[in-house]
Amino acid sequence: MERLRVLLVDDEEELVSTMVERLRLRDIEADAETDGYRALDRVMASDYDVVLVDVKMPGLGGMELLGEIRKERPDVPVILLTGHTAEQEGVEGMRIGAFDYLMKPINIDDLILRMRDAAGRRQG
Amino acid sequence: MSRDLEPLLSEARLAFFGKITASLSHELNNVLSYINELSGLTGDLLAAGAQGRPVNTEKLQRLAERIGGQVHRGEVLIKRLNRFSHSADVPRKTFDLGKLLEDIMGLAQRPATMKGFELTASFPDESINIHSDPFGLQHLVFTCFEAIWESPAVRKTVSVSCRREEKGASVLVGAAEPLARNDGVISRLRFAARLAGDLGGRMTEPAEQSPDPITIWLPSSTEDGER
Repeated sequence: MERLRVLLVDDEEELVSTMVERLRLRDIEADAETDGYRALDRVMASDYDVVLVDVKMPGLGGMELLGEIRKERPDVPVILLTGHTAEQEGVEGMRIGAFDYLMKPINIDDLILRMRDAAGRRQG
Repeated sequence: MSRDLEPLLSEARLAFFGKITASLSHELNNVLSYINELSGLTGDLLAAGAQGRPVNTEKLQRLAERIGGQVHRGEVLIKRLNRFSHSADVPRKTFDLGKLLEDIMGLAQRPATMKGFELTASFPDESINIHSDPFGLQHLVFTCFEAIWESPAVRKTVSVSCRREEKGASVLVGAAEPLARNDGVISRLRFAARLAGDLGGRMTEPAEQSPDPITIWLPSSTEDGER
């Protein structure tokens, strides 16, 4: 199985860095970004298999970032992270082009499964 | 407040309650997510140790401390939510103005961050007790925050202070830059003035281009006010 390269975007720095550490332990090449604008720059400059984006972020919010990625890099699948009480945002995100959404707190195995699925469809 | 506006005020109070509790529930969910990831990482490291990799006990200790830190953060949020919910229990009660302002600032922290604003406070050491509607006053102060957030600004800071006045107290909510007069700012300032009147007080907004803060004048007791 090919090594996944993913970008995690969430303004909660400690959370996203812990998730990155857990993914790396599972042999996934993961980067973290806490700012939507910087995340967009990284997506433009790199070749990620999947981008995981928290919906609620200050500055460039998750939905806006999704829109920008769809516009600039439509080949890169985006999975949204929403609060447990905000399923509607995930559904709305899929309407405007998100590959999938997950509600926090997430199960790491479930996350990896969905990321592999997204990456597989991109390549396939 | 005239009777025909009462249903609108009730709706607005409910909307404010929903806004604050939704924000807090989101923050609590983030705390749970942190704990989920930190405990997950602890489990990952222990599982790796069981397979023969060296276990870094210092790292495990730090993870345990970080989990404890998130539990504390959760406790603070729950206490804040509890006090906020109970602030709507009775229409009037006696409370310390500075403490109430600290509460609403805590509650407004996340919405402020989402708007890119920082909240700063400066309260006197002495307690300023007033008899008023704590929920209504939090609603009023939050509406002033929203008015400021609606104004385009480079320096995104909101300062809050309070002081004792001859016949009550005042609350000052200031922006770092003069407030623009767009529709969002105007409508919120108008609504804030109505809320202040409902508390038996009044609100003065800064003149256009003035760096002065929004000032809320409150009577010592709502019964002494200008209702």
